[in-house]
This record gives sequence, structure tokens and C-alpha cells, in this order.
Amino acid sequence: MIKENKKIWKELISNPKGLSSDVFSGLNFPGGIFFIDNDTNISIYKSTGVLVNNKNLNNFINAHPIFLFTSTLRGSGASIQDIFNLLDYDVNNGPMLGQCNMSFKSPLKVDREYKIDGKIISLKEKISKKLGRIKILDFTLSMFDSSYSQIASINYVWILPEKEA
Amino acid sequence: MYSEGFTLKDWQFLVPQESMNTWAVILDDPNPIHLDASAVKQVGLGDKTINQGPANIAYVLNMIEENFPNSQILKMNNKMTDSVLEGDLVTVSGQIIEVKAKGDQFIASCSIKLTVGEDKIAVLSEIDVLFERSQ
Repeated sequence: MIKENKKIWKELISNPKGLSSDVFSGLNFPGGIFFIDNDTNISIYKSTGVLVNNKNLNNFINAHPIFLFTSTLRGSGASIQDIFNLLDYDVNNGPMLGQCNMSFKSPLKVDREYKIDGKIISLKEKISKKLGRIKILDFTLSMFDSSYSQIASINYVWILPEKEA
Repeated sequence: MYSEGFTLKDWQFLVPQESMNTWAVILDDPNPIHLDASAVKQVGLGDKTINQGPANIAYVLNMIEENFPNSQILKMNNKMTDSVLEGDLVTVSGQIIEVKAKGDQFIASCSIKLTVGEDKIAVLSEIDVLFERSQ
């Protein structure tokens, strides 16, 4: 099942010009794995103004929960740039995150490998009062442990401004 | 003891360009609006680099962690309503909407907002957090 979907993603990204938005609905991400390492965990804490210390065990045992975001995007088998390439979208137009909904069945752990999988829900065109012509990309990615139990899931809605002709 | 209507302790952070550079690497995100002010101008979104959305969400998570040490996030819905720019001082504030018992633990449903200055709301979050009875 996954192999077949990988092929479809691969086929679409090899020639993304002029594809209809409907083509992407239900498309599975290639999928992959992501390892949460301690150094990146500390880097995330530091870059968001938190010093890692032994007063809070969460900083050492559990990964920062925002790893749900970074792990799924880095481990889905498609980078952010890959997603934009698939949609034949120019990153210079300034894509923005509109919404994201996260759910956790258990905390994410440091020094642990997770399997990532997910699919594109939809790509819709819309006119925004502020941004003009835009596309709205809706997709979901999930994290699984080594026994393929789902640990966490995230739904993304990205706003993709289009350059006016 | 946390209860319905309880106002959570605010959390603040001054957003430097250095953090955005770090997040571009962490996310493997080449979007120039986070790295180059001239790219932001080019797309008509102002004249300062724009902070990455997940970093803004991380600030909200840090505020929750500070208010509920060693807790567990169960659910978090985020709506990004405005941009956070390089040099902005962000404030994360909010309150507990509901507290439910779950065995020896509790689940607090919180309504959180991340603001810049007096009235610019950049993120609206609804969070369910599992915490110990002792808090």
C-alpha cells in the first residue's frame, strides 16, 4: 500500500506543471522515519528562550512537544520544499502556516526513532481580502512508535499566496 | 490548586533573527521571508523577517510547561492570526476554561493567546493538558 503511494507521489513530483488541485486530495506522503536527538531538542528549547536544566525532567526525558511539528515535516519523506515542488508552488510568494491542530497519545521521547506517515487532505483555491488569490493546503501527518502504535498526529493548514499575473 | 477561570502566569520572549535562522535549519525550511527582510518586502508583507509559525506555537507550549511543570499536552489547536516579526516582544497569556478529573490526575482545558504589543494577536490556542493532582 505504502509502496504504491510512494510511486504516485514520485510520479506527480516528476512532472508537477499544470496539475489540477483535485489531483492532490488523498495523496499519501512518501513516509519515512525521524530520530529525535538530544542536541536538536536542546536547540529548540534555547531558540525559544528556555534554558535546559535539571529542574524540569520534561526537558531531558521528553522531547519538546513542538517536535510533533518538526518530526512530521522532516520525516514525512518530503521536505517543505518538496511539498512546494509537488504543488509547483514558488516559495518566494511567501507561504504561511494558517492553522495546526495537534493531538498526543503520549509524550514524545528524546533519543527515539519514529515512523512518519500521512496524506494531503485537499488543495483549494480561494480569494483572500488581504492576500488576493491564494491556495489553501490541508494535510495530516502522524507519528508512530516502533510497534506502529500512533503516538501523535497533526493537521496542517498552509496559506499559499499566488503571484498576481 | 488550578480551577476554572484561573489566570495562568504570562510568558514572554523577545524574538531575535538568530532564532529564526536556527528554526530554518531545524525545519529544513528555505522560505526567505524568515531569513531576508528584502524577500519580505518583495512579497508585500512588510519590511522585517517573519518568525516561523511553529516557533510561535513553541512559545505557547513553553508557557504551558511553565504553568504546568512535568505535565503532558493531550491536544492543542492553533490558529495563526497574525505574524510575529524579528525584534517583537511576544507575550503568551491565558486562562483555564475547565478542569476535569482523570483518575489521580486532572485535565485542564486552557484558552491561550500569543500577542505582540497591546492588541496584535498572532496565535490563538486551545489546549488540553494533563497534570498531577499536587499542582
